Amino acid sequence: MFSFLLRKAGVWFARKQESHRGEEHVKNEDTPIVGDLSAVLKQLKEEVQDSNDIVIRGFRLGGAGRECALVFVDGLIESRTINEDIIRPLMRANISQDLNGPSELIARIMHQHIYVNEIKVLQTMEEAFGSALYGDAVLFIDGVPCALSLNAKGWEMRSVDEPASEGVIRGPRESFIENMRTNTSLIRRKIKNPALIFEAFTIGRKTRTPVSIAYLKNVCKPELVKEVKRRLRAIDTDSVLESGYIEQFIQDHPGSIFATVGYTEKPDVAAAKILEGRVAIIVDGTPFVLTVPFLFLESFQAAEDYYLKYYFATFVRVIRIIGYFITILAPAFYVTITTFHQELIPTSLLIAMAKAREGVPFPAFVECLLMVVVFEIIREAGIRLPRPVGQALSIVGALVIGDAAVSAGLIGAPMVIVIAITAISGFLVPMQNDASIILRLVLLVLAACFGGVGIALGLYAILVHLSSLESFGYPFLSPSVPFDLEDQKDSVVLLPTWLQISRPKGMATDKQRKVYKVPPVGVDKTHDN
Amino acid sequence: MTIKGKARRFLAAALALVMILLLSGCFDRRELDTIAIVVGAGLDKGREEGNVRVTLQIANIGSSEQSDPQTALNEASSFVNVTEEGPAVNYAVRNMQSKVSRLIYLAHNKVIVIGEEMAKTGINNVLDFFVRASEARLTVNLLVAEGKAGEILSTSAHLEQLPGTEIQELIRDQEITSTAPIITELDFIGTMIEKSVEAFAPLIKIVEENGEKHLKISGTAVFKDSKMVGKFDEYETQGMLHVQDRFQRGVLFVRIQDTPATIEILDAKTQLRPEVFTDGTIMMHMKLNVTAGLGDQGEGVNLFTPENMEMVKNAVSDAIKDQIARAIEKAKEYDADIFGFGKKLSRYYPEQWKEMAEQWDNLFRSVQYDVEVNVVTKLSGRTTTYIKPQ
Repeated sequence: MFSFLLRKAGVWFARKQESHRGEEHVKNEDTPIVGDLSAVLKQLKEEVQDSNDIVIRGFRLGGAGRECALVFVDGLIESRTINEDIIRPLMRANISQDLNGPSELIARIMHQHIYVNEIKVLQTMEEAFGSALYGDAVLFIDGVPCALSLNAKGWEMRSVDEPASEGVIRGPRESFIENMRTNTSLIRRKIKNPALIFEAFTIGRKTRTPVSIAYLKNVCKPELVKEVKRRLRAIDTDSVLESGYIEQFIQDHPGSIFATVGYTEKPDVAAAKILEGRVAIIVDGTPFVLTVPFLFLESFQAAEDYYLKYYFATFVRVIRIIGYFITILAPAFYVTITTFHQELIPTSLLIAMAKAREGVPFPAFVECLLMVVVFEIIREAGIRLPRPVGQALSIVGALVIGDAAVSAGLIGAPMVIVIAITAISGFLVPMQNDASIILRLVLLVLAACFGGVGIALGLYAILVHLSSLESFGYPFLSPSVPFDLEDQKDSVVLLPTWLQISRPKGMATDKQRKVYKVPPVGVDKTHDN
Repeated sequence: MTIKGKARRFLAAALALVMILLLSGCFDRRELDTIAIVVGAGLDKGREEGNVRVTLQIANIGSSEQSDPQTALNEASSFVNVTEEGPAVNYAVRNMQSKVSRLIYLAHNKVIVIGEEMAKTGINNVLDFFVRASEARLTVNLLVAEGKAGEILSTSAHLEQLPGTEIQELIRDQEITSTAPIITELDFIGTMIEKSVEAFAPLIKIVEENGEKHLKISGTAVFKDSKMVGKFDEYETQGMLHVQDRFQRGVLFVRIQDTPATIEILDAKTQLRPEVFTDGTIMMHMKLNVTAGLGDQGEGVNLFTPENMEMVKNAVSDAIKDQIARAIEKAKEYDADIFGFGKKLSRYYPEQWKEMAEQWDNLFRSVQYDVEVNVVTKLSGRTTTYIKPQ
């Protein structure tokens, strides 16, 4: 319902802006590259003005032949490649003039004189710009009505590091980085199979951000790939600076507080999801790779589950689900039992709690709201502050909130316990953390106003909402709702890896097997081999 | 502007939600520091005729908070007793509110103690409030005080913090002593309103030892209709519990060939089967299966030998038969069918019962019974003989 309103608002805004844009909206026609180098250079200069990172290096073929210009962006290229493998051989080239036209010249240059691994022939100025701005060197030759894009990319980037958001005790420690190419290579290293397809997109009118989708041919449903491509192509925006931009454009329910697009920082997770028949979306400039479709239960699954013993993984998943309920319900539950349903508390505990609350000036609801908000403040501050200051903050937070506030009589000690367990449990399900905070507050207000009825109603509303959600056509709550017995093998429970015989039913194309042969148990005593 | 389609559904759903929420509302919201937690209630006969004195025991929350807990224990009492007299319980409790700064909250009440005098004049009227008040639980324990209920509640607890909880714990101990019945308000009222069975409740009294007052639960208060008509001591109570099949665990003291011994009754099951003969005689057949163990023994013969164990069995059997006989005879004296013989009859002989019900009081006195006790012995503890000084 809420998303319905949002959609309406979106359409309204778009219509309003339509009238403002008008002429800007007209898409430029492609301009072909002309054979006249000076004309091309003039065009170039007009476009880039005095931008000082764009370098135009002019020289002559073979030292005295045709005029050439090499266009590249300083900082995005490797100087060595430009100097040694492009300019030097071209200047030293001995190219006779008796070639039959420009195409033969291009072929000769490509085959004999440039020591670069990737060469593309470009026909339009737009392509040339795009190529240069992406880090290639673009070679224009006088009298030739096309340009050559030469791969000379080389820019500063972070090395592959440990993931900051998804720590593991056991499992690969490498993480995606900001460079898309590195990221695709990290996935490719996990799945050495030609069926792994990367398809490239460029999204963002101004940023022209390279985006790539990855999927496993014959495993991933073609309809899903088609749908992902359709949604990505439909994005028409100025800028894409992080995968979060894409996420907001492609999610099924922009109005929902629940995340219906998954993200990960770990190549092994991305690879696992691709192997299950999902599609990964890799966006240049961010280490967070999106995976779709994303089901609610995936929020409770961690990469490490699959590397540990299955019974322990199942146990941990149950703990995470309990933790999720605690984190959204604990404050609401505490407020409701202390203000409406005191008969539910064992007498000795009730007396202890009443003693702790003695002298506290605020109603339990205000006290609780105060603590929830204060915790969020501390958490937010902890993320933003520089690390050395962050430590001081945690000490202040612990002392002030934990101890001083209680002894000063501002809040009761049980409330501190409730908020502490709420906060800690929240970190068990980081994927849904944003939603948890909102749900926690909503349920708290419902509990304070309407007691147990309020909580029951709130949970009911959440359940209805969750069951109405979809992620790329897959019911968000599947395989629990609609229930699928076979897919329970990797849901709340996790069966041993060798029993994970088939891929998730709805996700992958049919008759696909994850495990081809269940190993025999014990020592082979037949001695046949 | 007309509302259509999705917007209409949205509005309808929102309205429904709001309406459901308004059904609840926060009118009954009460903070923890605004309630007076009642942990015990006492009902005594009032000074004026027909009145009832209600004593409520309220956990004292404010006293022990600020100061450090050790001194607080000595300084301030952990409870406050408030008493109010009135013509009816609810009236008195409501009047009491003007003496108590916080809202009287009955949901955590543990016990209802009824003074002996009150019990003898009938208690159906005073229990009405505790059945009616939705806050109060029907599972509270009900006891009859030998003396004043108010005094029982004023006796400070020794091991627990509050007398109310101490009394509750004492009742729970009856699971291993079986010297008094464990009765909840619900049980009590259930037996009181039924024709074929009479009500009973445990007795509680104050005993003075070394100048300290202790509470002790022992024996049974026997009711006829709503009035208390007599008492059973511990011995008779055990007999009563056997007949009712409520006996859980307990001890018996026996002498076998001048050897004193404590026998632990670890388990007892009673099957009660009524039989009506053609001449109208009513016979109650009781078959008991008892598991007994040797608790301790004094000097004499070693009881833990196969032959002597037979003697133990006989002694246990005789003792239990005697307990049962004493209980039944005494109940007949009081005309109070606390065993539910009538109830059994009504189930086995529903047709005859319709006639018998009218004159059950007379018939009860003439009920005959036979008891068969089947004893199984188990355990002698860590030793197989007694300590024999040489």
